[in-house]
Amino acid sequence: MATERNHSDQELTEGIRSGQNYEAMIRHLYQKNYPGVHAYIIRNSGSDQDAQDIFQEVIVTFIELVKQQKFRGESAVSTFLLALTRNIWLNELKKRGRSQLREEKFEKNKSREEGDISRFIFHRELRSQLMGLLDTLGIACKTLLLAYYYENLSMREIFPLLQYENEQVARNKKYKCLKQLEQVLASKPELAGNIKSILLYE
Amino acid sequence: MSSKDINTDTLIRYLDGELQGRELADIEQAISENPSLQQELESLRSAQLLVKSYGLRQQVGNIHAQMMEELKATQPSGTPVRSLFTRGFRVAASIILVIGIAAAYQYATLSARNLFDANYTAYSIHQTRGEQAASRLEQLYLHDSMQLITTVFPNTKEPSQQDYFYTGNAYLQLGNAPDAIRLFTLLQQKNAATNQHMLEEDTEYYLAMAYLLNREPGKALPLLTQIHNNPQHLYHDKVSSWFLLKAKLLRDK
Repeated sequence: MATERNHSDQELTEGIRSGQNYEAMIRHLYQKNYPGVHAYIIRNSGSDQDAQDIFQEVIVTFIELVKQQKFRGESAVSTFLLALTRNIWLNELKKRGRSQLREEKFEKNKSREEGDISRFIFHRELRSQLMGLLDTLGIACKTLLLAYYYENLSMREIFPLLQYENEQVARNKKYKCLKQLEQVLASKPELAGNIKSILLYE
Repeated sequence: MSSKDINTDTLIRYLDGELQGRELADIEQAISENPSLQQELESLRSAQLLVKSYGLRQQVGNIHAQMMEELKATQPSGTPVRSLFTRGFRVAASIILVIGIAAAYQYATLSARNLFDANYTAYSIHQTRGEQAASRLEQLYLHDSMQLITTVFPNTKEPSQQDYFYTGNAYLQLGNAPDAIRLFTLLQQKNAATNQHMLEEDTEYYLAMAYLLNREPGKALPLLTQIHNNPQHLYHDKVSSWFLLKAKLLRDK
């Protein structure tokens, strides 16, 4: 395995906020925290696949919380991730109807911090439905929007890459695609109405 | 600028930080005075937020596949390291011991993942070729946009052999060995069906590397042997006797 440099919690959160060396930060989170999360899920009626699914959700949630300045570093990153895991997994067990005893035990044992965290982990299913909306756009739109808003490529870089005639054509296409996505969202008021709590954890 | 002059395009330009000076001041004022503009701005902001969240999920998903491989590879194998030392040997025995321990260590630590890491270099497109009429996927590969390639490929109508090749290599770079193997194998099948030899030798080498990454040295070995035994093969120099020996040891491990 490629050896990763050890990052302090501060370096990690600053790296995520700045978007620099993003991949290394995600890899670091996996190396330091996945074994513990995996062990926790397996000990609590989960499978290897459950552990993998939950950990991806935990990582995405953590990164979004850091970027939105909602993780303030009051606890260690590993403690926070485990608390997120416990909350997300408990919710999953509830959904599967296998949680009664565990829930009682969890509620009894959970720390104040975990009580605070629970507000971040609602809407897992709604979030997944929201992501599905992007898939309803054509591939050209999806790629263009991802290139601009996620990969942070400039229109000058994008137009030859995605084979638009020129920068202006790519720009016009981007406007149309974003408008199209806005309309798709508007057609799902149950999702659009909750989008802040779903994506901004508010 | 009055509210009625402001259309969605202008709002998007505002959100994307493209407005300046007077134009910026005007739109800010119009938004502050007009609830319907505020609402539309919020909807557009939500759409952008959704794209960013989707991109993050995609990136984490790709790294996830890679990390699962790496984490599995580092789990203790429990391979015993046997001491070769017995009484009666002095200097010679010491030398044998050192060599033996070194060999045992090499053997114990030998893994398909280590062999992959030690030998893999990402495929790089010859620049002059990229400057010609490159396909969209080739352009993305040149630009190092591996994630975008994996998004674009499944929706590419009638992908060419090159498209399969670049997508296979994109998956390989992202650490997703099963999909890399799938794409390289499809390319070989496409070549066979059309009686062509497009990127044939490149595919053989990178398919072998994908098998190593996927911890299937037994499948990598025939390809590596073929490359090693053919001095004319494009990748002959990359498969040394030492590399091949390690692959053989791995197969039998």
